[in-house]
Amino acid sequence: MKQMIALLAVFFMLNTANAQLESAVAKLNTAVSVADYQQLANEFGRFAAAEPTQWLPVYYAAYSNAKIAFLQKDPDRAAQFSNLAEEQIKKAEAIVKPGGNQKELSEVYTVYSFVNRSRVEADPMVNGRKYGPTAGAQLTKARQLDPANPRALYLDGLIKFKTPAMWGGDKKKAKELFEQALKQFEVKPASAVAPQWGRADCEKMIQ
Amino acid sequence: MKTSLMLCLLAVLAFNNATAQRIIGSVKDKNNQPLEGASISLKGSTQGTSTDSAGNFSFEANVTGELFLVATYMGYKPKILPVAREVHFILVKDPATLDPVVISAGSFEASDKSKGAVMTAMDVISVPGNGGDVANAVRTLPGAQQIGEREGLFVRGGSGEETRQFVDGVLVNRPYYVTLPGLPQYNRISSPFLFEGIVFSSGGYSALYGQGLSGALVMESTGMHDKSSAVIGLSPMLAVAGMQKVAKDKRSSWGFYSRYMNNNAYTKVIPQEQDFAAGPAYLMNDLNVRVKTGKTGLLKVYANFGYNKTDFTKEDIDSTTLRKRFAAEDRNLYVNISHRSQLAKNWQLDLAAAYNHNTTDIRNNLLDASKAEVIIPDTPYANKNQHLKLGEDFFTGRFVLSHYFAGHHVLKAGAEYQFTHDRLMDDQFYASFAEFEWRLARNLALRTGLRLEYSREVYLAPRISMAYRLPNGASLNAAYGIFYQKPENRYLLDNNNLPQAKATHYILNYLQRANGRLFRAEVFYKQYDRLLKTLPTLNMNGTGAAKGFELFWRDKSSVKTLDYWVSYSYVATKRDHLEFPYQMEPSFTAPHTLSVVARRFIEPIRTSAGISYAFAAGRPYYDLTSYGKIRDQGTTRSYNVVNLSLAHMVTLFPKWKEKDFTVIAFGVNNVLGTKQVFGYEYSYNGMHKMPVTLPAARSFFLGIFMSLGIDRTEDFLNDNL
Repeated sequence: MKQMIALLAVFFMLNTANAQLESAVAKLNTAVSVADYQQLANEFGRFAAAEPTQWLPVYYAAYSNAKIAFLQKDPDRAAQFSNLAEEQIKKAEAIVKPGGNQKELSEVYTVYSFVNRSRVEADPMVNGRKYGPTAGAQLTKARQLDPANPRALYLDGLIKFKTPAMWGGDKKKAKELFEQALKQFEVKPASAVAPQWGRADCEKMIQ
Repeated sequence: MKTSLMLCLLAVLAFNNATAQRIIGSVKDKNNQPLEGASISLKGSTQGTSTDSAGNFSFEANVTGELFLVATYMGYKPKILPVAREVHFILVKDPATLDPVVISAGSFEASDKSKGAVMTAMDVISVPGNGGDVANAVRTLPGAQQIGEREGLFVRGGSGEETRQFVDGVLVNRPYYVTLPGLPQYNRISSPFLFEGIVFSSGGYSALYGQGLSGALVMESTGMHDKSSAVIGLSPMLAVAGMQKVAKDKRSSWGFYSRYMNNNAYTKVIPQEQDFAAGPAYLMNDLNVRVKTGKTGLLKVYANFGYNKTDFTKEDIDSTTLRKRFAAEDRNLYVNISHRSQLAKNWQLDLAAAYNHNTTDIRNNLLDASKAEVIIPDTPYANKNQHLKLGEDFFTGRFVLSHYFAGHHVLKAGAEYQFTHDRLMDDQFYASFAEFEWRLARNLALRTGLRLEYSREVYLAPRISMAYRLPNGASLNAAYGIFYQKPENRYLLDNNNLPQAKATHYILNYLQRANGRLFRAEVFYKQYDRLLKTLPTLNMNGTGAAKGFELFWRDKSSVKTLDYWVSYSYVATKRDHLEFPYQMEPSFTAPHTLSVVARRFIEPIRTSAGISYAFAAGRPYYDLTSYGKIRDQGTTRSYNVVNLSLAHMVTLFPKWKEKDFTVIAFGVNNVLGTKQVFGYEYSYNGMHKMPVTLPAARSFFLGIFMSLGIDRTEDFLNDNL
């Protein structure tokens, strides 16, 4: 009986943590402003500190901080968020890598690529040549690890869309990638806490 | 197992038994400004919240016993306070998240990797109308004069010879092709592919460099290339071909870049002030090799062979019927080899050597109307028929050993040697130097350097500079230094005991950068204690001084896709040098100089448009006789020039495996066709004067460039417009 209670208790605890994470992940789907993302970055940061062996909280924290970096106007401030995001995504990589789950690794590299892309965006003249190729390589890796990863497809499309045609951008190709990504977004995430961000942004791009 | 489960149970019970308590509070900075989005967490739990736009927070927490709240905010030091009903945090900026302050007095850095850079190398080079010349582009920065009739950088009242160029640490002794009377010449080393960092110093520069009385242009060549590529380009007066090959193992790369330029046909279509019989024609060949050595080493070899031929005639000022011919051929080989390696942790060794071989052939002739040579043995015609053959070999080598201490202190020490040989004399020069950069605090940096030069006697050149970051993020800089420069060989030949020229610099600077905008203001005072005099005898008793201030503003964020900068320089200077009778304003310095550069990329039509405008107040001019008497003097009209460049980008062969990047470029210099007068040439008897002006009111450029492998589009624009 004592054991039963104990088990229930553990289950209950995990469940609360999971429920909290679940609600934060759901909020990520509707976040728009720096303030939204800052709140989520803080929240994921707290989860990550409490559960240092889990890759998801720190992965989400990294994504939120990269998103803030993208939305920042001041390149120096953006760089601080990019640096923090890199620190976090490296932690996620270190947690996922030994197990070698390809789908999870693909998610990690997608965000890693996104982090480096945020640096390019903040100061293209200074960071373009330095971080652009790294970001590209990480995205290629992410797409190889999981060709059906909708976020990697979306990010690939976004880069093709934003880059002027003469620097290798291609709006038509971008649209194809967005459509492919949308198809993959239809596939239900493995769980309520599994990576699922990007759908709303992708839908916006296709309009 | 059982105990741990029991503990869990206890924990859960404790958790459930804990009293839910509302904690409210705020997070603000030192100035009582709210910090929005700061993270508040209950130490050791996942409970927490974020502050709102007023910096306030409020949340329900399950609190048991004595607990702590942690507040964190990006760029600020985290703070821990015990839980209470109300918790108010005041956070202070974390200096660790700020980059150490960078010393910037007197210098402008264009770099792709440095944090202190004001612009990228590409920015400097892509100035409309610079003709692919780094030094020309630098003329849009404060401190440099707009001199249209001569090459060189005229900095803060200094002559063109007083600003020297350095590549990978060593002096480039002949950076320009042979000087043409009344025409600006090209820089031999100008390919923008080559450099990833350019520092233009208008004074107070580091003890690592010397022999530039007024300024230095320090260029660092690119490291290992990361991708193979090829380029070709064609225009009515120019053909370009080049490639870069990277080895499979990515441990070495080599490449070449050749340009052939002949403006002769152009001078026939667009009438020029001068009548060109040949050229100006240029052949420029660059070769580069990069090899990684060992774990950390990189060997760089850069060779440049340049050839220039120019032959023109123009009216002779002393007669109404005769013409004056000027013909020059210049052959130059420059080889620069450098090696950088990490000797041990925190130890770096830089080795560099350069060799330069130059032969120049200059002819002056007096011609009659049928272009036949005329020899008149009387003054002033006697010396108008001349044939000069000049040759010079130059060698320099140097090493710099750097040690990086904990806390970002850096010690650099090294030595250099220069050897010049020409038909008439050999000259040697030695220097050693040490410089310590002290990071006294995150907000305070000090650089103390000492340079010891030996050229017939010993010279001591101390250099000091410092930077202090103000609370608003701007930095205050100051610099002081003594600079020496050896007289040119042609003077040493007549008097081998001439000491070095000497100048002392004092600089104060204010620099603020935020949100893609940069503002810089600088005041300076420069004292010349020794300058070369040629009258009454050859000596070093010349003196002078220059003082002034400069402003620079750059903004690349206010209007999307528009990037512009504005420089203004004021300088008041007088000097007694060469054949000047007393201290007076030199003819190469205008008191006011303004330069505006703007560039915009128009995406829908794939075209980049650039415009530059330069203004310089009138410069003084003199009719100075060979015996040092002023017969006439005045001030020229002011200088106003607008240059325009357009570049349209296309892909001609989208089906190719390596898509091509093609640029069709068009440029006009002096769009408005304003008549520019840089000074006057006087007849021997002082009766006639002829303005020194541009060879043609406007100059044009049209070309097509194609690159494969790497997107070199931008490079081409810059190289040729």
